[in-house]
Amino acid sequence: MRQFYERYADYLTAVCSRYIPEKADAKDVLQESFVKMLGALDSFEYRGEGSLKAWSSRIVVNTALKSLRKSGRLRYMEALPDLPEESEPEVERVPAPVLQQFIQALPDGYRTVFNLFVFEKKSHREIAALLGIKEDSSASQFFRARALLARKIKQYLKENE
Amino acid sequence: MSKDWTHRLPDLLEGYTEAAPEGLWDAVQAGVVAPRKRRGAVVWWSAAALVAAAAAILLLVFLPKPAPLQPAALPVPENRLVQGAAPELPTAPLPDKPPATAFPKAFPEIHSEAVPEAATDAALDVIPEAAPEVIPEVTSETEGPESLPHETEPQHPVRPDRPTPGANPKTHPGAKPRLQFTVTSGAYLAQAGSAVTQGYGISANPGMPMLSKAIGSNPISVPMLRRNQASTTESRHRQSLRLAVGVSYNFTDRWSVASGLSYTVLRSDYNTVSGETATFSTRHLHYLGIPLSLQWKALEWKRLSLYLNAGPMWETAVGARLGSRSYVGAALSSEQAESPSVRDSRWSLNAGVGIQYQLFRRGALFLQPGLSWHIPRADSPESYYTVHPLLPDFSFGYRFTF
Repeated sequence: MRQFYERYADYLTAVCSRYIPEKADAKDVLQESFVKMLGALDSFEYRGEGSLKAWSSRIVVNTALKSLRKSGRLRYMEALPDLPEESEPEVERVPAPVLQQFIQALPDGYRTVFNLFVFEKKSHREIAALLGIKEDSSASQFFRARALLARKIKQYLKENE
Repeated sequence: MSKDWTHRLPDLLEGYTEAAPEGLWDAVQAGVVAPRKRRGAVVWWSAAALVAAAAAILLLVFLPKPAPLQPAALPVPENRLVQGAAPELPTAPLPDKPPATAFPKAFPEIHSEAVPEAATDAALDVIPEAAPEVIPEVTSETEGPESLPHETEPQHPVRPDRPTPGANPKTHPGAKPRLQFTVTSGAYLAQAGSAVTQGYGISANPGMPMLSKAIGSNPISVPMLRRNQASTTESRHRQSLRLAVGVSYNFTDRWSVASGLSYTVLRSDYNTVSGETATFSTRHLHYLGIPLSLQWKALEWKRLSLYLNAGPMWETAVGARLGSRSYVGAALSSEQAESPSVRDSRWSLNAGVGIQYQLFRRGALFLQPGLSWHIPRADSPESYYTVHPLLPDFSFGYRFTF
C-alpha cells in the first residue's frame, strides 16, 4: 500500500489540484480517494502500468467532482456568451507548472468542464450528464475556458520573450 | 479556432507532478477502510471488548464478596486481646441470614439507652435486626467508657449504619493493599485502610470512559453507644470502576455529540468497633448511566486531536451487595452477604479536555481528564457521589466515531 502511495501520490495530487486548487480541500479529496483505492486495490485487475494510473486518476476525478457538487461550486454553470476567438497559442513553450497554474486559476465551472473535456476525453453530452447541466452549457463553458487560457498563455509568452 | 492545442495539453502535463500534501499518508492510514485484515481486526477487537465488558459487569454484579480480613490486625486494645486460642463463640449467635431488605436511605442514629434488652448479648456486641426500628434519635457522644484508642472526633453529622452485622461494612486501619478485582478485560486495584484510596479499572471495552480513577477518602469516626459500650464507625467511599460503551457522531468537522451506556460500581467500606467486637462490611452499589455530551474539536494534528466536551449523565442504581464479617477479638464470629434493593436515580454534569488518536476510520482511542458534579439528592444513599459531589474524573477508552 505504502509503495502504491509513494508511486502515485504526487501524480494524483497534480490531477486533483487541477480540479480543486485549494490545498486543504484537495487534501480531503485525495485522502478519500486513497482510502477508496486502497480498499479496492485487492480487487483491481492489473493490466499494465497505464491501467493502474488511469484507474487511480479516475477515482480522484470522480471524488473531486463529488466534492465540487457537494460544495455547490458548480451551481452557477449556465450558458454564457462566448468570448472572442483567440488564435492558437504556442502552448509547448509554456512550462508545465505554469500551465497547471493557469488551469487552476480558471473559474470553477470553466475549469471543471475544461478538465473533463480535455484530460478525461469526455463529450459535452457526458459532461452535461455528470454535472447536471445542459449540453450547450458544457460546450459554452469549454469555449470560454479555452479562450481565457489562450489569452493567458499569450500574455505569459509575451512577458517572457 | 482550432481545438488541437488543447488536445496537446494532456501530453504536456503527463509527467507533471505536485508534492502530495503534508500528512496525507497519515490521514489515509487513519481513514483506510480497506484491508480486510484490518477491518476484521476492528470487528474482532470490538467484539472482544464488548464480551469483556459484559463479563466484567456480570462478575461485578453477581460475584462481589466481602474481602477476607485479617483478624490479627484488629484494632482492639491490648488489654482486651485474646491470647492463645480463639475465644468461644457466643451461645446466642447472630441471626443466620437476615432477609433482604431495602437499603436504608439514611443510617438510623443510635442511642445507648434505647437498645432493647433482647439485643444484648454477653459475648457479641451486635444488635439484632429489629433493634434500630425502636431506637429514638439522640445526639451522639464523643467518648464512651469503652472507647478505643484510635477514636477521633466526629467530622460530620454521621448516621451510623444499621447496627446489624450485615449492614455495617468494614475497612480498618492497617489492612494491606490487595488485589481486589481482576477480569479478562482489566484489573482493579484497591488500597484499603489508608487515608487515601485509589481505584483503577482498565478495560478494552469500546466506549467512552473506559478507565476511571477516583482518589478520595471519607473517614468518618462516630462514637456511638450500643449496649452501654461506645462504638466507632468509620466509613470510606470509593468509586472503584467505570466501564462504558459509547458512540459519537460528528455533525460538523468540529462538533460532535456522544452518548452510550456506562456502568459504575461505588464501593463503601464500614468499620464498626465496639469493645472487643469489630464488624467489617463492604457495600457495592451498581449504577447504569446514559451519558450525553457535546464535543468540540479545538486542535487537530495528523491523527491527534484535542477536544473539549461537556454534558449531563443520568444514572440509576440497578443493584447492591452487602457483605460483612464480625469478629470477637481475633475470632470470626459471623459472616453474611445479602442483596438489598436500592432505588436511586441521579444526574451529574461532566466536563473534560481530551486527546483523541484516530486509530481507524471509525474508531479512536481517547484520554480524558475532567470534572464531574453529581447533583445532590436528599434521598440518595450515602456513597462516593454524595460525599464527593464534585470529583475529578480520568478516563480513557475506545470510541466508535461516525
